[in-house]
Amino acid sequence: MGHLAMMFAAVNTGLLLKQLFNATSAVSLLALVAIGLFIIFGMMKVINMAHGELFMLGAYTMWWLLARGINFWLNLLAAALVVGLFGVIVERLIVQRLYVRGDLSTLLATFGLSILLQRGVAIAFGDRPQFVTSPFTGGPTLLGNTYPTYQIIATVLAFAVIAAVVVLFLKTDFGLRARATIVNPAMAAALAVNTVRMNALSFALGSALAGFAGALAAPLVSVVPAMGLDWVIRAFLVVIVAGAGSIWAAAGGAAIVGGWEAGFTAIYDATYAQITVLAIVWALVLLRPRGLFSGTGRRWRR
Amino acid sequence: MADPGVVLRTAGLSRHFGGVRAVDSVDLEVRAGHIHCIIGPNGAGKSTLFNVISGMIPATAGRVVFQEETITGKSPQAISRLGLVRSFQTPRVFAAMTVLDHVLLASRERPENGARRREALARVGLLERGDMLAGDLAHGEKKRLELAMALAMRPRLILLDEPTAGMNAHESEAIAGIVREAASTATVVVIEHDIDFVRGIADWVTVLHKGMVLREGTIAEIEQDQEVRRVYLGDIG
Amino acid sequence: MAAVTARQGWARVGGLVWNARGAALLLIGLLIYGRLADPFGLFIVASALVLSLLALSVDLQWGYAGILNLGPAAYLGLGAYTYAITQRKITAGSPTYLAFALAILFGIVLAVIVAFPAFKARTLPVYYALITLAVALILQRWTAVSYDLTGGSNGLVGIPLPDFSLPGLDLKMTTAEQFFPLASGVVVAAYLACLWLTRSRFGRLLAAIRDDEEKVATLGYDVATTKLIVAAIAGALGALAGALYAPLAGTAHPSLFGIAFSVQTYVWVAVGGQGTLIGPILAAIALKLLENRLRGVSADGYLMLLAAVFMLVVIFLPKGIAGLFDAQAVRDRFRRSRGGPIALAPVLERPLDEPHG
Repeated sequence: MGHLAMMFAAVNTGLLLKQLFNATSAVSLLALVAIGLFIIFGMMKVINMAHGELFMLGAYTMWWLLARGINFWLNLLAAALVVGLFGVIVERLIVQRLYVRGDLSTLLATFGLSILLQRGVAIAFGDRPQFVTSPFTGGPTLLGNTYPTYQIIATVLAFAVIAAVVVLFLKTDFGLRARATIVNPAMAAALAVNTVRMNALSFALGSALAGFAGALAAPLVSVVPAMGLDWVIRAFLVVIVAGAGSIWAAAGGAAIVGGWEAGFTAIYDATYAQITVLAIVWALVLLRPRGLFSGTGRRWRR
Repeated sequence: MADPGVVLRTAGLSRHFGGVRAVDSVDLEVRAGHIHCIIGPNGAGKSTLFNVISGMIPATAGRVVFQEETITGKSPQAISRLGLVRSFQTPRVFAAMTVLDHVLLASRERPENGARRREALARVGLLERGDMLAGDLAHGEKKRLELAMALAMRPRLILLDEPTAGMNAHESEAIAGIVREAASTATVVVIEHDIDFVRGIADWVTVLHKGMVLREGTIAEIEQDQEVRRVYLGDIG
Repeated sequence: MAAVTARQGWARVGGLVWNARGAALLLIGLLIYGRLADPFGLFIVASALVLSLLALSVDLQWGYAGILNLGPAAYLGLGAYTYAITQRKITAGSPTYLAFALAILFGIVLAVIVAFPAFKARTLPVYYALITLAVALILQRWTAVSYDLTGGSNGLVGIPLPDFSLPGLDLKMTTAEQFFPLASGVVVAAYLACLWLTRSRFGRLLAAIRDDEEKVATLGYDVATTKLIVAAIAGALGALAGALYAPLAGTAHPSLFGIAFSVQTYVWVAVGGQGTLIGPILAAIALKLLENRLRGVSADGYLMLLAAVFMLVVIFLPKGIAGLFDAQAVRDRFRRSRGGPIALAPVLERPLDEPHG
């Protein structure tokens, strides 16, 4: 009897550890997607509805290049670069035109863009899932559970990139200007921050992060044209939870949304996990309409 | 405590933005039927004071009592329904709506009884502009429309934020007439920069400086006050 | 006062007739089409009409009140499933009154629940848009896994046609062609109701809220409640669309909640012109007929085309394609160029005050 109880406890600890690992892995990728979205939202107060499709484009870039025998790690960089450049084009052609209107037309236009990209890729490569094989198979085993090497590396890489972005924001000249713009755009403009260039740069950076995240996640998920939707919805919820106050807020929001979802999924069910996340967001909007980490009750117009 | 002559009273009213004390422990008493002017250099906290009184931004501390009722924390719509209405410094009109529709919205009249809105438009001299779109009005006319909307609500107290901003002397004179006439049915609190305008209408003047009440008194007393002169000349020079 | 009422009364009747001319023309057009078209054409136009109710709901929110609900399909799906499940589990074989009533009720309830925190707490409009989108997608996902209630990803099939029978009066629909007059009637009635609403004082309040919420609040209006009412009306319209769409299509499936329906609705409103009411209905019919021609070629291609048109309209024609031909806009331009005060506009062109009272 005692022996059985001990075994049961060991299994539980192992399971718990495994689930903790899965949650961490999910949070890291979500944070990567959300930070890209957040940078654009924080800087320009624009929600890029096509952010999920940038993630998808990153995954397809990885798949396409890999199928042509190009090195996996190079493809990660290539995806970031390609999608980042694409972001620049989107910013030039669409966002910049609508930005001055100050209304919700950027939201609508990028909403259209997201469908355009999604269906475009469906026409080009079909709706069937594409598989990206990870450069590693297997992984270390701990307490009866296997921890896939690639998932470990992807998680570490995601956190590393997030750390790099944070350093970029805290330590560089670009980061200083960016933070100033996020906190007070009018003031930043008055201090001769070139907002047009800053906007283009932040859009490129946000897009590149989405592309990188997509490529990084590609071996872990099935690559389909509609794959971005699931991620971007969660990233949207992260932004609502976190508010647009600081770069830390996005990470904190991702931890809350991603962590809760992973935990709830492990205990019960993925769909209900999303429903509960939505309920939390609903309550937060009521209690903290500017986001959990918004700090002062600064008022927003639009 | 309850003085029947006092319509609006603020006690220790404060509003801080981070470390900035935009309104700092302001005690104000506005007497019924008065035209009470609030003057002060730029950044003295005049508009913030109005925003707090009208419920558009919450107070950091203190309270506002309007007609014996504490209104601190009430929503702007609740406050305006109690009869405390305000106008804005930059006219906020609905560009695609006609002048008549503006006062209709403000008066809550049924469209077929036009008495109140016609009266409000007549009082500000916009009666013949009724069918024009507000977006097509000249700046001065938009300011008058702001006034007309306030009047159409039949308020007990009107807060006017710089009603003559951007107007020439002649137009200001006309506005002074409108404000004097409005004071026959309501108490009026006016923020104003134009000291000539204030001289012509004020029953009582409060000088705000750095969020605090610097002086109070009749316009004659205020104009002779050395401290006020220093603050103003400092502001101008 | 009494002296003016007779003249004003007639002017108002005249105004109502003039404003309702769109509805009359639409109705005449539909009657003619109903005589000429083949059953399949009738089916296509009927589904366009039913879905145009959803477009009306978006136009009310976006075009008049400036509220962006990016998941209108949530109400389509909700209405469709409510109708199907009610008719299956509660009132099988009986008239469909309860099914329609419940669908509309649930539409209102969902709309109010979703909108309440966003409007009451005065959050960013962007957040409301994102939450509505999330609600639609999560409902889609939930529907796909709740096999017992919704049939899961297979959906529900064999949804019975509406039955409006009363004791002693058989009004049971037996063929899908009979749907065409029903859909026409409902859409024309909904259009007239929306027209009345937007031309009323309430409509003026909405326009004011779209321009400057804060100012409207200082005029003593409860902005949040007003927006909630609009969202609730839109929810009811959207759910009604779903409750009609399910029996017309004969099936209900999770994709009714999907982004394709939401985008399609926005395209119709943008192309028809937001804030016009009639525009989205006409766009729905025209684009649905076009879709029918193109879908055979490529469904994805059609959706791409819609998305591209939508983007172009948003970027280059903020008032919609109909805005190009907007007579009122031309008149405004003319007025503006003349400057100065204008004479009283002819009474017929003035917005309707209240049709009665």
